[in-house]
Amino acid sequence: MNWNNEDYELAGQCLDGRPVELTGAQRALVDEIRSDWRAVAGRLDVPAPAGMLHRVNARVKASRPRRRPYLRLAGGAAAAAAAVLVVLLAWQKGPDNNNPGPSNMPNMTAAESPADYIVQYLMGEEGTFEARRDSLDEQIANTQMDLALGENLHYDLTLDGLVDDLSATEFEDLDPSIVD
Amino acid sequence: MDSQQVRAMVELARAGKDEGFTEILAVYGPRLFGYFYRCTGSYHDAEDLLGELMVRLVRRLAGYDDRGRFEPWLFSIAANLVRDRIRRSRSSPPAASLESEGHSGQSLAEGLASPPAPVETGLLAGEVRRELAAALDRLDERSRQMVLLRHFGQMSFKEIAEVFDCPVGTVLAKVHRALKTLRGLLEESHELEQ
Repeated sequence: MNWNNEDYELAGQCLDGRPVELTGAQRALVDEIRSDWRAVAGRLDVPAPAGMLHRVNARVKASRPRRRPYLRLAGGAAAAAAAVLVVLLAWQKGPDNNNPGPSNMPNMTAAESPADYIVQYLMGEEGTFEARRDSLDEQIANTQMDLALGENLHYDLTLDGLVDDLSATEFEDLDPSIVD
Repeated sequence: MDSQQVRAMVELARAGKDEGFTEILAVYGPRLFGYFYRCTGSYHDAEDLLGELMVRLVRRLAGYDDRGRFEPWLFSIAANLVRDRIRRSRSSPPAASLESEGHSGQSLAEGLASPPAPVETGLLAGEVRRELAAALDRLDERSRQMVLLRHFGQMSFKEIAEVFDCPVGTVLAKVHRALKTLRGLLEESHELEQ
């Protein structure tokens, strides 16, 4: 039997599972291809040799770029160094009174060194609070010592002074659990 | 494996997880190996091509559009690999040609023209393989590829037509002729055995 392009086109669509209307000749073509396919297909399969998938898998793994922990560590160190450099540059430039920094920047006092500030900066908000608390504890201890020794007070112990000191530490954005 | 499982597997591989590639290899590796073996006639070349395909997959998965079927996409890459390999082996000097099992120094093109020697199975299996390889070799390159992609890649005729950039009718006409040739040769050799 001779089939033309249209017959093959429609038979192909039918074999792909699409709903098409076929003539008797086209149905015969579909049946013949199915029969030939059954006779041949079973012979085409090839058993994979032992260990083949493992060898290929090992090759794929070896070819893939791996994440190297030491590179990540170096990346982290570089980022930290860059942050420190930026802070140092900002510090050297000095405070701009007309353009105050963001509200979450720790309040610097004359007694604090740039290094302390950088340590606080890298510690984050909780670290800043703890550093500030330690500083206040130290001031209180010194004051108590001065009082005990009868020294002249050079600290502002009035209520307003304490409020000013405490307001230097920003509580608004802190997690309530760490204020306790 | 349903389409959701395939998608999850592909996503794993896309995320760079080893499990994703291991699973893809487990699901499609044996059929891809069969396809490569039938194309090259060599176990060594088939395994090498499968490895090359998986390595390419690592890079190409990023460009895979998961709205389509994964399997035809994978086998179309395999078909391109085979075409490249054959083209290279035909244009390369003998020193660069591929080695086929049992035929040291034989190029891939020559490997396609002659059946592979029996490897790990018995004489009868080796005979059948030889006959089939000889029968496949009688086909032109495109027809052979179409039959093998249909069988191993389980691709529709429409998907095969897209790979070869031709109408579905052309694909089916070629596959029909190829199947007739293969069936005739296999039956002929079977009758001769009896």
